[in-house]
Amino acid sequence: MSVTIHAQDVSRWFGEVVALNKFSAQIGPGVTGVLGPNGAGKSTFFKLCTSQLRPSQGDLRMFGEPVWANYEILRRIGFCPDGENYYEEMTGYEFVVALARCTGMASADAIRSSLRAIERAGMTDRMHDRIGSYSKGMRQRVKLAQSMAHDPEILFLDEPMTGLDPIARHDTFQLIRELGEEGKTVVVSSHILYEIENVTSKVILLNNGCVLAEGDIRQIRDLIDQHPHSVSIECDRPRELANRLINHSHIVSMEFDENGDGLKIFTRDPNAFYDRLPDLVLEDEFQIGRIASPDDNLQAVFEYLVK
Amino acid sequence: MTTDIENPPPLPLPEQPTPSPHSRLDAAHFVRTASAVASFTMWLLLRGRRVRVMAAVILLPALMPFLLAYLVPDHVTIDGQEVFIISMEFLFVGMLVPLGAIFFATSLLGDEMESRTFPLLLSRPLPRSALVIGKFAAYSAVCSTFFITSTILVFGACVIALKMPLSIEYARYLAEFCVVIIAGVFAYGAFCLAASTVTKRPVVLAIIFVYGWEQMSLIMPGYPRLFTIQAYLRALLPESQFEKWYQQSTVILDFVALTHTQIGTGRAFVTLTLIVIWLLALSSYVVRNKEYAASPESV
Repeated sequence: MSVTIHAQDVSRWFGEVVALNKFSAQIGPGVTGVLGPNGAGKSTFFKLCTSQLRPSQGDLRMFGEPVWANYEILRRIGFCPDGENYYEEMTGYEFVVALARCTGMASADAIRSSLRAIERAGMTDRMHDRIGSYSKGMRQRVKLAQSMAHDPEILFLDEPMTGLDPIARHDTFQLIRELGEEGKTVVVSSHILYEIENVTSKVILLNNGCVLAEGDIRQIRDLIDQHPHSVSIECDRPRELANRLINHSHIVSMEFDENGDGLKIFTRDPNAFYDRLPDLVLEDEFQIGRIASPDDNLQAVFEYLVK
Repeated sequence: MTTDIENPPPLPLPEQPTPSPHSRLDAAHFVRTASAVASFTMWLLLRGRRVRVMAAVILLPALMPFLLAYLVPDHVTIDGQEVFIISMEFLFVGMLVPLGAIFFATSLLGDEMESRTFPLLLSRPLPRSALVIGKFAAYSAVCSTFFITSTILVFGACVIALKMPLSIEYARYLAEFCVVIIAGVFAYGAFCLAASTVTKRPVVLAIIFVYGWEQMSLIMPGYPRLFTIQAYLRALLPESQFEKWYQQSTVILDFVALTHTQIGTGRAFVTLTLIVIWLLALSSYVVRNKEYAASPESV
């Protein structure tokens, strides 16, 4: 196995703000997670890798070549940015095909490979609907499809699980694992350990622009067990949901929102919690508005590592 | 500080850069990517709200000859040919073509930044100059189509409402005006696109240039008019009313006559071509070297 991404003391600063500080890593084929709280430098690293930014210092290479304005390298890279980046008036299909054509593919090839990517992302049924009418999960999937459409060898997925419902999340985990097994280099960022844990055991921990740790996720998991994982849920009957969850041994504590339409759960076993939640929702017909996992718990691990 | 939780063995670095499975970047790739950008930019322009407003503004002049025919008393004769020539020169070349450029070309890149879709394009193997050329081509195609449609409608309206004779001579005028309008679309579009790459307020810069500097320079004696786009466009016109007026006024003011610079058609055409090439090259250079994701908020 050889290195596809080689970063040596890469730093990037914006005026006096240091976004990435002497970042060094060697990333090979398979899935690698970049884990860190908001503002850790994950997006900056991705922007450096996708030729949107130049390093202020250090050496960043892919396939042995520098990245900035290197279109040969960019042809081999797929990027799924975070945030809301869409042409709202386009349909999902038009969006993916248009961006595939911008990689230099001939029209017929772009259509063929876009259809394949859309199918892999599970969006075939809704691909002719306007993006403006998509749910957040569908938007994420179509964004994922555009990153795969030109069959890149390296994929950068910036927070790809944000806003996905549990089923879509499961499918996305599956897809990312498959891409890794196919021999592609997949770099996934998240601020939620559970998400990374589901796709890979290789992880790079970032905080304040510095690499805190690099290696196997299980050892980080051991650290995090001392710090319960928190999950915020917005639903129609938070007290009933709390009642159903309270007997589970992995639940440490619960807090209700001040406005009464949500609760925050602290668990020692997020996997068990996320496995159980869909059944509970279906059995008692809870209306779930939003599920989010704040990064406070991860921050605690970072603080522990810094000490 | 780095804490190695586990020390994996270092991965071997490839000794030689891995050869790309794709073909080398070449002119064909440039053309393919630029045309892909052009086609989807055209799609975006035609489905945007801005195009509906602009279409109304551009097509409105076609009503003018009918309005004149209706409002002017019967005993006053209106020369349809004069109305057509004046509206082409002062309304289209002087006002609407620059307005169209300000409306569309200043937002070609700005809209991508505003809607945060720029990373999707910048992370593609898309030469940034192809991005600039593709966007400019889309704008030129859309604006030229609108203005030429409007010109033909105004011509038709002058024939129908103001009884302008439909002769070969006027048909030639129509064709020549269309060429001047396309030249204006290109030149002002390139200026507005370049303005959008070098300043955060391209609309302000373009308005100052078009409706401030150009208007002032055109009536000033001497060389300032050489630093406008309008002077070269008017030099291309088959019959410039402005030039007639200017030459008449120079008879009164000798020093104006001395310093008045006549621009020939050939020189005007070459200069406009150079202006467009230079402005597009400038835009490409700026876009190629600019880091659009560079802000502390984007960490």
